[in-house]
Amino acid sequence: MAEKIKVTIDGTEHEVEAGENILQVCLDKGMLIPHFCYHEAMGPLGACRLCAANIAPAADKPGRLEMTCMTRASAGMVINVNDEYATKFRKSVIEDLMLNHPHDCPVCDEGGECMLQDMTVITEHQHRRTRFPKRTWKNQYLGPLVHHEMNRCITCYRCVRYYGDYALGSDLGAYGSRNRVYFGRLNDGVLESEFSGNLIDVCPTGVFTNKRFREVYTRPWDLQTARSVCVSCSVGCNVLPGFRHTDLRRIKPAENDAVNKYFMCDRGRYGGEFVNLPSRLSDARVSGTSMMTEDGIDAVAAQLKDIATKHGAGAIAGLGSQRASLEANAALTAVLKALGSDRVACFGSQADREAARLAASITASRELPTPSLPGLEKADFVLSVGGDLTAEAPMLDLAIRQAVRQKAPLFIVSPRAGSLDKFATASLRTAPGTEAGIVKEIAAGGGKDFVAQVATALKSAKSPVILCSTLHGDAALVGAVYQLAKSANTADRPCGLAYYYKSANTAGVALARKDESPEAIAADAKSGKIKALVVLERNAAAEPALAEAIAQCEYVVAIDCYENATTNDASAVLPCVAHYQSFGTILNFEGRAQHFSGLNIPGSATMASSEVLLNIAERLGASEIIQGLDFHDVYDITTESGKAVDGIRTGDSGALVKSDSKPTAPPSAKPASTGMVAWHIHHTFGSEELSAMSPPIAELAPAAGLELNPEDAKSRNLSDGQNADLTKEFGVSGLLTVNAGLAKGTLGIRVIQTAVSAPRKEVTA
Amino acid sequence: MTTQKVLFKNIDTFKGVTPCSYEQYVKGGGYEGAKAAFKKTPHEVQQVIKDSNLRGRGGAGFPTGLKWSFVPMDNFKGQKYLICNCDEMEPGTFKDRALVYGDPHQLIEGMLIAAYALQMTKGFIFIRYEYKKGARILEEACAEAKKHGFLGKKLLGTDFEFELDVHLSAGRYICGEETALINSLEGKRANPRSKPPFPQIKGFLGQPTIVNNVETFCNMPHILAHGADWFKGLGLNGNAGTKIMGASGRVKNPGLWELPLGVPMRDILEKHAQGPSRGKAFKAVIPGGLSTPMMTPEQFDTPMDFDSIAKAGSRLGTAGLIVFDEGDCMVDSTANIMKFYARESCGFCTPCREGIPWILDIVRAIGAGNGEKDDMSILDDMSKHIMHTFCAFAPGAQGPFLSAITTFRSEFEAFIKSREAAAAGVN
Ligand SMILES: Cc1cc2nc3c(=O)[nH]c(=O)nc-3n(C[C@H](O)[C@H](O)[C@H](O)COP(=O)(O)O)c2cc1C
Ligand code: SF4
Ligand code: SF4
Ligand code: SF4
Ligand code: FES
Repeated sequence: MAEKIKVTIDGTEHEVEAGENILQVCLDKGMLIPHFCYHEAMGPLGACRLCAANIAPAADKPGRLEMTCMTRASAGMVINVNDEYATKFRKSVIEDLMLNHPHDCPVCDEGGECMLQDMTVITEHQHRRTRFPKRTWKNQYLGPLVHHEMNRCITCYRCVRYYGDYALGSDLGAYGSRNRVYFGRLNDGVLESEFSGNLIDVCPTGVFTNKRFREVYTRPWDLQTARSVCVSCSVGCNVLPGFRHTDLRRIKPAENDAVNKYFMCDRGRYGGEFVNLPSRLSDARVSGTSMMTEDGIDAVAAQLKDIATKHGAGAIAGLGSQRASLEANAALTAVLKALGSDRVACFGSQADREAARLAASITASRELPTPSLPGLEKADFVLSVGGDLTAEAPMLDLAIRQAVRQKAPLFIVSPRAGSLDKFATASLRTAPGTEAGIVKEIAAGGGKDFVAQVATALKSAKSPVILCSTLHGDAALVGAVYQLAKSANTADRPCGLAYYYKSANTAGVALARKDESPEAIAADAKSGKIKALVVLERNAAAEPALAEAIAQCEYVVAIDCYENATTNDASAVLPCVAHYQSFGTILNFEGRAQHFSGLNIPGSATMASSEVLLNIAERLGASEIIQGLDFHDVYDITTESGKAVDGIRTGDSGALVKSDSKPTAPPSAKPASTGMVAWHIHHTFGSEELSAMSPPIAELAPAAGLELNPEDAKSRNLSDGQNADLTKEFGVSGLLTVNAGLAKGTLGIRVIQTAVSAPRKEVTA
Repeated sequence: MTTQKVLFKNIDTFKGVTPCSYEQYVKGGGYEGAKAAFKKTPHEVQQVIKDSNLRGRGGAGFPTGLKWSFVPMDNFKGQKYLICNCDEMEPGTFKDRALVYGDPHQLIEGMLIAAYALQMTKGFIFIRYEYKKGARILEEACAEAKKHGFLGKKLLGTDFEFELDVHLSAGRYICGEETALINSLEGKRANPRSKPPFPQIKGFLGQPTIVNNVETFCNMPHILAHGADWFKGLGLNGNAGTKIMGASGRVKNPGLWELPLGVPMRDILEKHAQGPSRGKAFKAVIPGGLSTPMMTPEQFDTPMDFDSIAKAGSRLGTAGLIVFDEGDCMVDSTANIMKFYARESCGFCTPCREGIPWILDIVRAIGAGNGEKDDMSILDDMSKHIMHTFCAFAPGAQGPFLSAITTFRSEFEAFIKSREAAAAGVN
């Protein structure tokens, strides 16, 4: 801990840490010193000159005008923000910046949440004294996400510092000099970074604005907003979805010191538009007839009761959802319990289930520290295994970039090179299923080349972290990584371990007490043993393991917010509100229980899926079950402090859950395959179910198809761009991309959700 | 008073400048300073420079020995860099050009001595874009020096090595500011860096770096060859060394002269530059390259040395006088001056980037008869605000600007009044 010292700010003494940034001290204490170029994530720059104050090293020493952002606290320092000249100077800086500003606030998308507007008011620059022409610029096309309006630029350099220095993007720069500095790309074109949307928030003016929001623009204060959690991956970034009338207009990151502070990824920011799709469900549909949800619930409850009576309790099973809340999944269990059944499957395959459940149990055992996003940023060694962070858990990638910036060595072991590989100290391309073996070699020490390099770096690290994907159903890898982290973890040198998952609440459902393999349920549904399936927020009909079962099962109830293959074929459809209107709790990759709040939006369903299910349970006469329903009945969790998970609400950063049971023993690795192994390639854009339906995300998604290493392609006489028919070998065919960044022996299958085309509705502000 | 020719021993700018060859240079005592230096320890060489009271010739006059003393020495094992600043884009300044074009080996020898004293094994000469020919001259001289064992490995019978490269700048005034120079040399935008850390600790590629001016280096061979006391004896009134002084503008004989530090300004104006060029009395002089406050005829007896000029309210800067006569309109001249700064601002910080072009717009408007009542008060305000910028560029611009609107305020006011009078007449 740094030494505590006293400084005087505008006549009041404050205790601060020696060396603290004076501007940050003041901001933390609620004193809003005007500033532009300073940003907590990027640090001080000293360029805008707006944060000036009169600063003296001691009360008896003369003060002078200094930039608070460039000044570090020292004992006895006297800071006068209200100094007469400093006040005048700050006003003059705004006047300087306004010389060329277009003053187009009435039509500017930043209006109302514009830092330049705020600073202009704070500094009391009111009267325009210039009479000269303003500079003008041409704007650029930057792709479907970010709109560019250069005339509003105040040359604060935040955008390039964020995009290039912080996010390590290389296609946005500052060009030219003097009072003509241009911030943009070399040429028009789609921004390459997966984190480009943050430009909108870091830019203090309306140069970079949200292109989607712009098209359906409304003043930000007219948005209906409640704090939520992003649903598009297992990182669980905190967000502020903004609704107007019936539609979701935009998503912004919400500050949470423990998760994401200022930033989020483009998939999360732009992936919420599934909420607005014309396929959004608002009415119940039972046997082809539309009805009120309440009536639908009555009909479904009656039908389920009937089946249970006729065929026994074992005839009904539930399909739980990795994207629905803990509450909704618990309510599904309550419904089944009311019908006497305890059969639920939350995963798409036994392999996925094993991997995720093992990972979640390891995490929840709290035996090893799970790094949070800020923790990852401070790592001095990073090993990423088994997946593509940028595609599978984007904000983990951005956190790792911060560690890389601090010179942490980064090692990647995976079948396919992703965006992060260009920053890796070394990457090892290896066929799916072989990663566990490599991890074991690292743990064993010795080895040579890559393995030795990783082992040596791990040994000398002070705060190492290991990240592992569970998206590829490799439980042996999950187990091997656990062993490696355990062997590297000592009391004075903790080794962080983080697993990440397919969906926003995969970690949550992976801790469910009751969960069985989907294959078992599918088999019983096909054999007729199971007569009814209750499907919670899940397009199970699109899952290979379940498609047939859904098709053959007598009675399928689908509860979801939008139409999909499952709702289309279901005997009964009950609508629920979409995630960003819904409320509940989900567990992110850390096992952090995060609550999200609901909003009542006209023109959509009115109940959260948990409410729909509890209503069914109620109709089944199970009020006792409902009343006694507590997460602890359903999930193997409490919070770290021992309190129940219920009652975690927005505002606290979300408690980490803890499970008392020991992690199950990892399965032994399957013998390495000698032939080709299929691997699902997840993409940042287009692979995650909900966000893939959002038009801007669909626009950025790559084409579906197959990938092979050049050698594997050559030995099959296949070339890039060709339609490859591998039906005989693997049961797939598709457009082939030959990718040297794919390990030999890997058949890459791109996971691209077929987007539902969704014309935007005409809206009025 | 006869001046000893030291730096200009091999150079006569009035006869046209051709580079002094290696042979000629050696014949005149060249590389003797380096030989003397290599007989001493690096610390001893640093001490000689400190004792000589050499002050940096790049404009600020910072004592070179003191600047060097911050470079980590004995226990430091990493790479250190030596950089020669030959960006010379300061208007009214063309001394480094003469030194480089006329006697390249003098600079190389100076850098070799500094490199040895500071144990820096890699050096760069950062040279202004327009001095392309100079860059070629330097490259040839470097090759020659290498051939004769003054650059490269195992120099002068020691294990010391020094590699020297010439870097042709892309051509911006701000590249002369030492931290912007370093950024530029690293391939980054030529924006200055914040200090601390100072380049001596963290400079080029984050390593300890010294940046000195061409003329500063050129003094070193002579100091090492003849000793610190000899050097101190070259100047007047306790100033050490000679200085290349220049004059341009409304003088009959513009040019460069090597003169003792402390020579009265009037000597340059009248004796060397031979008085006004078009029969009109001198009106003002900017003494040290453009970025220094104007001085007026009653100050012409001020000695040309760092402290005396500072006492008179200006700065010695590069000692390149820019001379105005009674025929010069100070409003137009100010516009011309501010045009340079508006164009050369690096664009990093607000008061300089936005403020100076605004000043220029206003001064131009005044000069065009479109001045307005409040213009002078805006100019007064701006003259204060541009002092609080990120680097010394804008305070440099403030020098001539503030002195112009103060000393020649009546000219500005007359322009504004005439418009007001005209407007009043219409009503
Ligand atoms: C805007 C600006 C331009 C400068 N241009 C030059 C230059 O062209 N040559 C130079 O030697 N120093 C220039 N300087 C000064 C350098 O920053 C630095 O102080 C100098 O090179 C140090 O050398 P010295 O200690 O030998 O004087 C400039 C400074 C500023 C602020
Ligand atoms: S575009 Fe925005 S962030 Fe970038 S420099 Fe301009 S005002 Fe600052
Ligand atoms: S990283 Fe994941 S949770 Fe965060 S914004 Fe992106 S998709 Fe959403
Ligand atoms: S004062 Fe001018 S040159 Fe110096 S950093 Fe600021 S904008 Fe750049
Ligand atoms: S915030 Fe301090 S100079 Fe910009």
